[in-house]
Amino acid sequence: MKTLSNWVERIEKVAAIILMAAITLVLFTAVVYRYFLNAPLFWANEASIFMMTWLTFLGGSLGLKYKSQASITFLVERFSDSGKRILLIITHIIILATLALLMYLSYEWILNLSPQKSSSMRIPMWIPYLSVPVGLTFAFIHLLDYMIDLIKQTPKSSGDAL
Amino acid sequence: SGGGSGDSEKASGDGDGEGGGQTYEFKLGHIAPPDHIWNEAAQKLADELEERSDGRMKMELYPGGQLGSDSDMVQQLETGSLQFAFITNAFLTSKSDAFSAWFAPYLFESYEETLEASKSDVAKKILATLDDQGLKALDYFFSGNRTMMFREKVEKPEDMDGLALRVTPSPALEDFYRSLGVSPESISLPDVYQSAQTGVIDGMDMDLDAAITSNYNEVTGYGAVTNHMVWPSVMIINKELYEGMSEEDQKIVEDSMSAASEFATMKRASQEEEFKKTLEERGMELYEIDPALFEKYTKEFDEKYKAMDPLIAEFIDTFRK
Amino acid sequence: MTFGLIATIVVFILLLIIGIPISLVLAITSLSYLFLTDNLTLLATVPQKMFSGMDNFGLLAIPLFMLAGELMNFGGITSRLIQFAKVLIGHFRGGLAYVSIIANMFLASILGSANAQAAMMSKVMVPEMEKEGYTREFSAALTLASSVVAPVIPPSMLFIIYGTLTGASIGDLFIAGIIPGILLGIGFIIVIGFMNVKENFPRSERGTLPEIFKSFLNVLPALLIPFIIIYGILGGIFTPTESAAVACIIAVIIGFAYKQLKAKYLPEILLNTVVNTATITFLIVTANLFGYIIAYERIPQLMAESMLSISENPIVFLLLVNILLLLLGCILDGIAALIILVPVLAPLLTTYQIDPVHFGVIITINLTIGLLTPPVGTGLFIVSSVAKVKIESLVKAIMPFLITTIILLMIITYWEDAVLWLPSLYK
Ligand code: NA
Ligand code: NA
Repeated sequence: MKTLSNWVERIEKVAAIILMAAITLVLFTAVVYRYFLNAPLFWANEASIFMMTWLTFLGGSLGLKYKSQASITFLVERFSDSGKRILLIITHIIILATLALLMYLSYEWILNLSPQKSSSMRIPMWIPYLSVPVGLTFAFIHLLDYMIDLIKQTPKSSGDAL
Repeated sequence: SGGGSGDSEKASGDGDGEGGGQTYEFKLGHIAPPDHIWNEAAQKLADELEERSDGRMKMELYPGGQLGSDSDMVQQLETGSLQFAFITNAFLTSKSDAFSAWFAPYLFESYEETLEASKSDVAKKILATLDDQGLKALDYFFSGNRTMMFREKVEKPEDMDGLALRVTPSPALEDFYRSLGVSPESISLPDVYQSAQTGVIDGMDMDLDAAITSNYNEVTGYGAVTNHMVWPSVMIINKELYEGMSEEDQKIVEDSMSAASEFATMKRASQEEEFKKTLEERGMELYEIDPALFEKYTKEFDEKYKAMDPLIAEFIDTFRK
Repeated sequence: MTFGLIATIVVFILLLIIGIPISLVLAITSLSYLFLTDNLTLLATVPQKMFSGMDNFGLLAIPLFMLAGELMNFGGITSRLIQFAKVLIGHFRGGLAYVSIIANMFLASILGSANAQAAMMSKVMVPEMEKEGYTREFSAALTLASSVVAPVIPPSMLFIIYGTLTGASIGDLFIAGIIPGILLGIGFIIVIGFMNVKENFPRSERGTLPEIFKSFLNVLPALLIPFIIIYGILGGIFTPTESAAVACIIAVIIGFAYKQLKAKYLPEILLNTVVNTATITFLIVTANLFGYIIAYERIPQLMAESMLSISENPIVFLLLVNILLLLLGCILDGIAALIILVPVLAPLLTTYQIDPVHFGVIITINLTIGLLTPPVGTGLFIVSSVAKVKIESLVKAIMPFLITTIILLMIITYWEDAVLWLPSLYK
C-alpha cells in the first residue's frame, strides 16, 4: 500500500507541475496570439479550464495526503495521544467510506456518459470528466495507506507539503 | 445510469389526483434570468400543464442556472433528478451535429416563419436525434435573433475582417464568423462586459434581450440588427418519465409545450420594436446591414454544413428559398 | 423544519468539530442529506456537480495569481517593492500594515475578484510582514480583510453578475462601489491606528533621500509588473485573469534578471502553487455540490420568504436582508449565493422602493463578508492555506476587521447617498 501511495504521489506531482506550467503558458500565448498576431487561440480558455479540473482533483488528492486541507482542530487538540488516534481512526473510516461512495458514483457516471463534445475544442467530454474518478481513487489510496499506518500505530510524519 | 427514475417520489406522486389520473410534481430548469422571456415561457408551460391536467401536474421553476449549466441540467435530465429543462440549441450541437441546422444564416425572415419551421417533420427529426440519450426533446421556442454589437461602427462584412468578437462557443457560429475574417473569442459571459469595455474584444454576437439585461449598450455603442441567425431553445423532458405517462398525459405535455412555444415566440416577436427603442434611448446606435452583402458567406456555410449531416442538408434544402 | 434537515445540520456540526477537512465535511453533509431525506435520485448528479464546480474560467485567477505571487517572492520582486514602500512610509508605527491596505485598494482597482486578490496578496504580504515583526495571524487577517475590497472597488465580478441578474446598470454599480470601497479602506486604517496604540507595531528607520533614490532605482524593474498589469487590463490587451499569466511570465524574466530566481526552483514553486490551489478549489468543488442541494431544496428561498414577510417597512426589510445574507454567507460563497438569492430578493425592491444599484452594493458587501466567515469562506481558506495559519486563529484575528466591515455595511445600508451620490453625478 505504501509503495502504491508513493507511486501515485510521484505521478500526481509530475502531472501537477506540468499542468500548472501549461496553463500559464497557454494563457500567455493566447494573449500574444490575440494582441500581437491578431489570431486568437479559440481553444485556449477551454483547454485551461480542463487542465484546471485535472489540477484540482489530482492536487486535492495530494492535499489529502499532505493533510493540508483546511479543518477545524480545536477539539481534536484537547485529546490525549491515544484519544487522538482513536478519533483519527474514526474520522478516516468516515472519510474512506465517503470516498468509496463518491468513487462508485463517479465511475457509474463516467461509464454511462451520453455522447457529448466540448463546446470549443470538440473533444469528448470524458477527457476532462475523468479527472473526478481518478482524483478520488488516488485520494482513496493515500488515505487507505494512512489508515493502515494508524492501525499499525506508526503514523508517518507527512507534515510538510514538500 | 442512463435511465434514471421517472417514478421517483419527486417526479410523480402515488396518490390519485382529482381527475382520476396520476399526479406529478415537476421541476424545470433553465439558464436565463428570472425576468427573461425564457422564464415567461416556463411560467406559461407550468400554467398550461396545471390547467390542462386539472391540477394534477404542478411545476416548480429554477431559472438563472440555479441547478447549473446546460451541461449540468442535461445530465440531471438523463438521470431523472430534473424532469424538464429548456436547453440552448447551441449547447445541443455538442451532443448532436444536426442541431447546427438551425444556425444556417439568414434562413428565416420572421419569428412566425421560424415557429412554423419548428413544427416541420425535419425539425422533429432533429429533436429525435437525442432519443437514444435518455432525453425526449419535444419542442422549440425562439427568443431574440442574433445581432452584432461593435465598439466601432461596422457597415459591411468587409469591415469585420480582423476583428475579435465574442461568439457563443459552438462551431456553427464560429465558422460563420471565421468566414467573415473575424476571430471568434470564447470569453466567458461574466467577462464579456469588461472585455468590451477595455477593448480586449471589438464586439460580440448577441441578442437584443441580453444586450438590455447585461447593459452591453454601455460598452458597445453600435448595434447591427442583422437578425442573421435564429436562437432556438429546446424543450426537453426526462425520457423515462415521458414514456411512463399515459397517452392522455403525454398529449397534455405536448400541447402545453406547443402553447408555451407559440406564446413565448410570438411575445418575443412583438417586443422587437420596444427592445430596439430601449437600446436607442440608452444611447446605442442601431442600424441594419443589407443581408445581400452576406450571401457569399451564407453559401459557404450551407455547403460546409450540408456535407456534415444529411438532416442539416434536408433542413437547409427545405427552408432556403 | 423536517427531521431530515435537522439531522443533516447535526451531522454537519459533528463532522466539523471532529476535525474532518471542511471540503469533505461539505461532501459528506450533502450525501447524508440525500440519504436522510430519501432523495436518492440526486446521487447520480453528484459527480457532475463536483466537476462543474471547477468548470469556470474565472477560477483560473486563483492558481495564476498565487503563482505570480510566489514567483515574485522567489525572484526578489516583492521584497524590493516592499522595501521601496518602507523607505517612504516605514517610519510610521505600523507602516507596513498601512502599506498592505493601500496596496490592496490599489490592486482592487485592477482585479474584480476577492479570491484572486487574497491568493496573490497573502503570498506577497504575509511573509514580508512576518519578517518585519508582525505576528503571522495578524498579517494574514489584515491581508484577508483588505482583499475583500476587490469586488467593492471597480471592476467587480459580483457587480457584473448582479447587474446581469437584475438589469441594473453595471457602469452605475461600478461607480457606486467607489465610495464604500474607500470607506472600507479608511475603516481598516482606523482599526490599525487603534491597534497600534495597544500592540506597539514595528516601525523602521526613516529613509534618507539617497536611500530613497537607491531603493527607487532598485525597484524599477520590479515596478514593471504592476505597470504591465494595469496598462494591459485598462488598455484592452488582456483580461484580469489573463493578466495573471502574463505577470507570471514577466516575474520569471525579472527574477532571472535579479539573479534570485533559478530554473531549478521552478518545479517546486509550481508544485507548491498546485497544492495551495487544490486545497481551495477542491473546496469549491464540494461547496458547489452543497450549494446545488441547497438550491434544489430551495432552502435560501424558504428562509428569505419566512424572514422577509415579517415587516413592510423598507428599513426593517434591509436589516432583515442583511441578517439573512450574513447567515447564508456562513454556508454559501459569493457567486453561488448571488445566483440563488437575487431572483428571490429583486422583485421585492419595487415593493419597498429600494434602488437596485444601492441594493447591489449592499448585497456585494454582504457577500464579501461571507468570504470571511466560517465554516464556508473561500477567502478564509485561501489565506489559511497560503499563510499556514489555523482557521480558528485566523477567525479570531480577523474579528476587528469583520466588525468594521459590518459597521460599514450598516452605514451604507441606511445612508443611501454614500452609494448613490457618485453615480448621480454622471446622469
Ligand atoms: Na475591483
Ligand atoms: Na462564509
